[in-house]
Amino acid sequence: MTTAFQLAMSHAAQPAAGEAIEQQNRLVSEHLRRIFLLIYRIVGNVADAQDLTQEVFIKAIQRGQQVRQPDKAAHWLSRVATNTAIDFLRRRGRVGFQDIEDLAEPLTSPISDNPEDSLLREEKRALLEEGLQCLTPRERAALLLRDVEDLPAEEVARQLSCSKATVRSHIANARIKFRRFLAKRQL
Amino acid sequence: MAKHPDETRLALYAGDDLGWWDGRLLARHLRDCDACAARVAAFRRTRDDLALLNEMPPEVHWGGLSVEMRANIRLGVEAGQAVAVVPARLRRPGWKPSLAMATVVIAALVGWLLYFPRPQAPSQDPLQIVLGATPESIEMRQGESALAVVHAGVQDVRLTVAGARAVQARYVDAETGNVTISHVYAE
Repeated sequence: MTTAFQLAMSHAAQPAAGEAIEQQNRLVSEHLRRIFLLIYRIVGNVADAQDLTQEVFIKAIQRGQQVRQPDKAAHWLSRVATNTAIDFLRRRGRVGFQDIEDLAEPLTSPISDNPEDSLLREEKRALLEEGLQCLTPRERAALLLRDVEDLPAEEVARQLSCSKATVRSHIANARIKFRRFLAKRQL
Repeated sequence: MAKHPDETRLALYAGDDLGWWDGRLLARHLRDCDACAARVAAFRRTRDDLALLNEMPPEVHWGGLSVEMRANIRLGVEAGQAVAVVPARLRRPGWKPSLAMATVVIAALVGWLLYFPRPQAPSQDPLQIVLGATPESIEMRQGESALAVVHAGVQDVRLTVAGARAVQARYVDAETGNVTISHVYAE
């Protein structure tokens, strides 16, 4: 893998290809972390998230037109990432959401008992990740795009290729399920 | 007090996803209803907590992972560019393959026509001699002319055809018992 990276760097020395490669590197640098996290939250594991993230960026670079303008690139990447992750879950038949009532009671004590702030945050983050698994993939994607990425509902609808009413329904369902999950786990 | 709004509306209101008019009505209700206000506050706390999902999970070693993903993306893009060359050539075949294909098709067509000649209609040559038989004679025709060997009034005539060149009529005279055989040959 390091060899391939060095190969890319050596190609950058050629004036014609250099500009394109620099543009590609910039695209990857600016969005890699965000897109990886978005996919990771949807699919729920690092290895699959890594593969899918790479797939998304390869698609993006191969279709250079859509990602030439930075503001459009961010939205285009989010849309492709979301759909790629949802398609992946559908293909694999790994739509792993659980009924809240079926979840086991937490073995650890509530978050407020933990004295360390960082540990508390980590526990809370893990709890949120677990809560995401209660949602369907589309609810999960809608919640992440709206409440984590902070995209407007209209943009979320575009990214999920559905109507605004449908997205509002997904978002509301997701928030309600999430709230119930947290209430059950934190009580 | 007015009827409590359903949970879906509260969840949407918490994220500013309710329409302007509905939002105004709900805000008025919340001023007078502590229970609904508390539920909205809980939705908002959950929404705030979701920001934690923007943090990289501790099990992800982002430094190494991002370098590996960048290298894989570069490798994937280069592989895609290499593969893309072949279809581009296939899409525009030169004139030589087309000419060769046309030649093969024409040769096959000519061969088929020669091998399977169309059935010919019977010759209408007026000089051709035709042998024939009627209930009262056997005869030879050529154009408008005819030579007939008549056996009128005789029953039980046995006709024999020898190829296309001879016809025979054989019968027994009922009164005399004589056997008569008439041959007509075409030369």
